[in-house]
Amino acid sequence: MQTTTVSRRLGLGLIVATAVAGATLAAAPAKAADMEKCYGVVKAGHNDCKTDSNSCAGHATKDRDPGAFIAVPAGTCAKISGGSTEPAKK
Amino acid sequence: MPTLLERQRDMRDWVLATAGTPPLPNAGLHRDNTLGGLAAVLAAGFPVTHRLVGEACFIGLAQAYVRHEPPHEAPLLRYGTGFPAWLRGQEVARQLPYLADVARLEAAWTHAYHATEAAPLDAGALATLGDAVEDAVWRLHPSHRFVTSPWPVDRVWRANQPDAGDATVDLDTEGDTHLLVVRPAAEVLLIRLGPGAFALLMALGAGLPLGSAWDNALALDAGFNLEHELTGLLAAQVFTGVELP
Repeated sequence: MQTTTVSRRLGLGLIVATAVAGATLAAAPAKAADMEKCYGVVKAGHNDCKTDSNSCAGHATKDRDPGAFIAVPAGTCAKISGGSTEPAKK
Repeated sequence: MPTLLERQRDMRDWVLATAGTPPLPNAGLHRDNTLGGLAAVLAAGFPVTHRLVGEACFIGLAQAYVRHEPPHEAPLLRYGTGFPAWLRGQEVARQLPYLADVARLEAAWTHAYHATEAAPLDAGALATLGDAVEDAVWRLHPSHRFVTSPWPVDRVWRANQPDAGDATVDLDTEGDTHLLVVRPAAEVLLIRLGPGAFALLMALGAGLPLGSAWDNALALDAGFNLEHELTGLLAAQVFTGVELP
């Protein structure tokens, strides 16, 4: 380990120490140990039940229908104000 | 007589073919199951994207993507990592220019959700380093991802969560949105970063020591307050360790 002979910024250690103190005062988030991830049931659908071969899968509703993704999107776009029609930015 | 492997390849090619293929007896159910199942997997992994365009539109998009890029492995937890980039080239992305970036955020969320666990940084040991911390390399939690977009994709994401109220999102925000997606514990966090904090974390994530990372942050944001930002980041437990070179 190489020791630092000259610190270009005296006080950086103090800044970090203060931040550490502030962070420990803040409410700690739930520890991973308090909860366990249970694959496949925690988040609806985030599982591997539906493989490409088993039959718990549904049926294709719009098979070979290219119109399905050109059709008017129907969802919650209406709640977003400020131009969902044209790429105004960038 | 074709081998089993040849038969399977023929079946795969037929299931994924788009048009003009002769019918294959008794195979339609397999095609419907395959495309329907994989589209449902994408809908589960991209719930906000799904909600933004609606069911019919999403299923059409998802099935087109499945044909474009079928899964490469049997576990489907991570299937769809290429979906946001593909989505960007679709007609609907022209109508909803933020859509592909929202999908990118959802892919980052899924990555963080399934990423490796890691113990948080021992903040007490950090405080004892003193000014040597300037040369220290800080390790970010392995689940982290950065998402940058000209659109406020985190607000779009939050407004479209099942428990979100009837919030509206103003797309006309100033500047880019920088997000840190990370799962230090059980919950995936979406942390909105200012340009300075974004520069700091990008530099730390690339392995630069704190002193250089701080310089980067100050270069982008002269008013960058390191103490304030570090307090928030340490409280969120986004770091897993510091190392002196």
